[in-house]
Amino acid sequence: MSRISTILRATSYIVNVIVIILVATIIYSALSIRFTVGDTSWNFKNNTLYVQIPVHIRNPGFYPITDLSAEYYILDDANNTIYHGFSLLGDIPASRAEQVKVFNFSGEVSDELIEAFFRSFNATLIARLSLTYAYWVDVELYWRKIVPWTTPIYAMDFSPLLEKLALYASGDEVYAEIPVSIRHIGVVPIKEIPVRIVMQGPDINASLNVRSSSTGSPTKLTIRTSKTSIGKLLFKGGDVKVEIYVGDRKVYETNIHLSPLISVSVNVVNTVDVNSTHFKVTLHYVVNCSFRFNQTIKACIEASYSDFSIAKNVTINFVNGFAEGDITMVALKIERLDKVDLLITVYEPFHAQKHMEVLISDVQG
Amino acid sequence: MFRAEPKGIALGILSFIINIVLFIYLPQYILSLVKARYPDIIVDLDVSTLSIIGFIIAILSLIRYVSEKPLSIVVKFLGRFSLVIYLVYVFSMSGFGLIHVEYKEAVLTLNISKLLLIIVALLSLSIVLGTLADVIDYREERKKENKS
Repeated sequence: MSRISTILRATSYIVNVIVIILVATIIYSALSIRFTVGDTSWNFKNNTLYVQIPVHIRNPGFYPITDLSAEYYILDDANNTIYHGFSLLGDIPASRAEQVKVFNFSGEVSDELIEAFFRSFNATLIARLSLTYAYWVDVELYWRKIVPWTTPIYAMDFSPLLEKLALYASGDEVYAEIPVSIRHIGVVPIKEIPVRIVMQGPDINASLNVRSSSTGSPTKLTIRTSKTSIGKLLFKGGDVKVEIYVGDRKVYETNIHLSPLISVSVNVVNTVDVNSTHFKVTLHYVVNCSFRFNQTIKACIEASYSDFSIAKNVTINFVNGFAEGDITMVALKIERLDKVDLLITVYEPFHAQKHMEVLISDVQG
Repeated sequence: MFRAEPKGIALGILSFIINIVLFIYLPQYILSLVKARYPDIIVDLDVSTLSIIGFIIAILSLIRYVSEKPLSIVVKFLGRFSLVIYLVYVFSMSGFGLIHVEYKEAVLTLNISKLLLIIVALLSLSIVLGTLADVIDYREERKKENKS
């Protein structure tokens, strides 16, 4: 064998050895990589959905992981992309120690996604992970899963909330506070979704920014209205429309009927002939509030029958929304009195009126 | 052109059997093992075409040991190059250097085209250098024979 052929053959063997070492080390290193995905965190802020996915990476081999990036998609039933987030992690050098990296996805929330928060459908979640390993190997991991996206908002039930309604007056305006708590559930555990509650009714126009969360964030919706408007509600009740908005999109609407907030009952306690020209009648009144109320209100109870009319100012002291008392009115004697029209007028703090009839039988002349 | 030496025939048959096992039986066995372990896995690999190339490698290795120079040098070169073609074919089923593996809801795509190019280039260099060394040796043997 010549010297040249020996050199050539030796070089050939060396190249073969290099190939074997290269392939063996890449396979060994690649098989020793470990990825563990932590708990995903979802946040919704300023019309942007932020998704954070921590990953624990062990790359104890000989080669670095470079250009590590990930994309995250949420598709609806019709395969429309309702969310797309992208995150670039960069490079992960070869190291024996475990490294923790966080994929930070952020994507603007489309109207479709906002709508999706509040309806039930089958969501398709897609994650696409891309990286380059050992400088020359491009890896792409595509993961797709279809999960039922449960109805994520609990419809608000206002009826028990109204029992906790608080009213207070300031100047010519009346404020009503309603405790509100909205909570949502869903396959995507977004911590908080900022929503706006709008309440509209007879002369009522209230709006509140609140955060819907999986546990519910109690807050108070303050309704500011006039004394006249709240007065109608006090004795007559009314229909109130409640709407919930995320951004500018209405996602929930309901109508609630408010029963009269104050109920009054009046009974005749005693009728006494004073003399041939006058009689005295004592009325017993009971007032119940269907809301939290401890206050003194000034009212006038006016009785009328034909040309007979008499008015008495009273002060009603509410304790825990309940008040009762007697009022005695003396009038000119009339031949026969079956029933009396009563007009109860509340002056302070609310302006309200209620008509009712009280039976007074066998009043003898 | 061919020699009927017992040692060459034995080596040729041994090499043939090893190559059959290595390039036909072993890949099929590994694939069946993987499919048994992961029933939902889908691997794009045409085993029949792979077996044909493996058989060509085995035949060439047999011919190499029962032939005389320069035919053995040519067959050795072809056999080694068939090995490179085998390697390239394995990783070219769904595109050059693309390994596509599906498992349940996940799809793993490895693009090793760059690595494969480097390996093929290095192996080709090694084959060319080895064949050149064989050719130089053969020419020197011929010169010595002519002188004697």
